[in-house]
Amino acid sequence: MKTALGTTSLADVLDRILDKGIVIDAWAKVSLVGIEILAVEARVVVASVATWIEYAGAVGLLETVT
Amino acid sequence: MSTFIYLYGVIDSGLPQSLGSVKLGSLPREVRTLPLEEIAALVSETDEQNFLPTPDDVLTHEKVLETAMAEHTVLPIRFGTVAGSLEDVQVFLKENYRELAANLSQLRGKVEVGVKAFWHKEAVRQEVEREVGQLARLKQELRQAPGRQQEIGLAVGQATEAVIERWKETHVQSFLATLQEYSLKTKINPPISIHMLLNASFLVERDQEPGFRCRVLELSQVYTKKFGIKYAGPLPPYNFVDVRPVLPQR
Repeated sequence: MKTALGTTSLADVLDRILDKGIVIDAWAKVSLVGIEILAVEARVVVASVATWIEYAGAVGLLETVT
Repeated sequence: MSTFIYLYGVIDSGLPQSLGSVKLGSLPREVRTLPLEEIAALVSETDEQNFLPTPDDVLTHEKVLETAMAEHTVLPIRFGTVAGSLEDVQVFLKENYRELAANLSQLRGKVEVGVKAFWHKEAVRQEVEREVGQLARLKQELRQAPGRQQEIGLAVGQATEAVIERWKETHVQSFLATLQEYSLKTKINPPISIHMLLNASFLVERDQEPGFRCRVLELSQVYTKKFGIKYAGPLPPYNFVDVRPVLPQR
C-alpha cells in the first residue's frame, strides 16, 4: 500500500479541489470555464470504442495505445 | 490596480492571525484570517481575478488548508474562488454564518482520508486470457494485420472491462463495506482513470486516523494480488462540506 501524509500527487489534489468544497458560484464563474474543461478531461470515462481500445491497450494487447 | 481577495477556506477561529507567506499566482502573498465572531475566512490579497489550475497554485491552495488543519477545523472552498473585496467576504461570512458554524462544529475533530484502488495489469491480463484466450496469438495476428486493430482491440477491451466491472462488484464492494464500518461517513467518487477501481473518501475521527490507516493496510493485504491501494490523509474534508452559500442580490 502506498501512503501519503497529506498532499499526494497533483492528480489527487486536482481531483479534490476543482469541484469539491464550498462553491461560491457568483465569484467563481470566470475561472470555472477553464476548470470545468480540465476537470472533464481528467475524468471522461465513457463506454465507447475509444475506451475499449484503451482497455485493450492497458492489458498489453495494443502497445501503441498505452 | 484593483485588489481581489483569494479564498482558501473557512476555519473555526475568530482570531485575526497570519499563516505566513505563500506563492499565489506570480507573487508571494500573505495568508491571513478575516474573522467574524467565532469563525474566519482564510484569504490572500491578489491582483488576479482568474486562477487557472496550474500545479503551483493548486498545491498552494492545498498546502494552505493542510497547514490550517493542524490547529483548526477547516471547511475547504473550491479552488479559484476570488472575491471583489474584503467587504464581499464579510458579507459572505455574515449571510452564511449559521450554516458555516454548524458545518464546522459537525466536522470538529474529524479528518478526511482518501483511498484509491488500482487493478494490477498482470492479474487482469491473466483473467482476460482465461476468458478470451490466446492474447499472445491475437497480438501476433495484430502485428501481421494492423488493419484488424479495431476488431481485435474491441473484443479484448470489452472482455477487460467486463473483468474490471466484475471485480468492482465483488472484491471492491467487500473491501469498501469493511472500511465503511470503521468510518463515520463515506463518499464514493467516479474513478479518474481506467486503471482505478475505487475512488473513495472517508470521514474519521482525527485520533482514530492512524487506526483506520492500519485497517486499510491489513485489508489491502487480502487483495494484494488483484489490486493496489493508495492512501492519502489526513486531508481537509473536501468531500464532507455541506454548505450551500447564498449571497445577497445586488
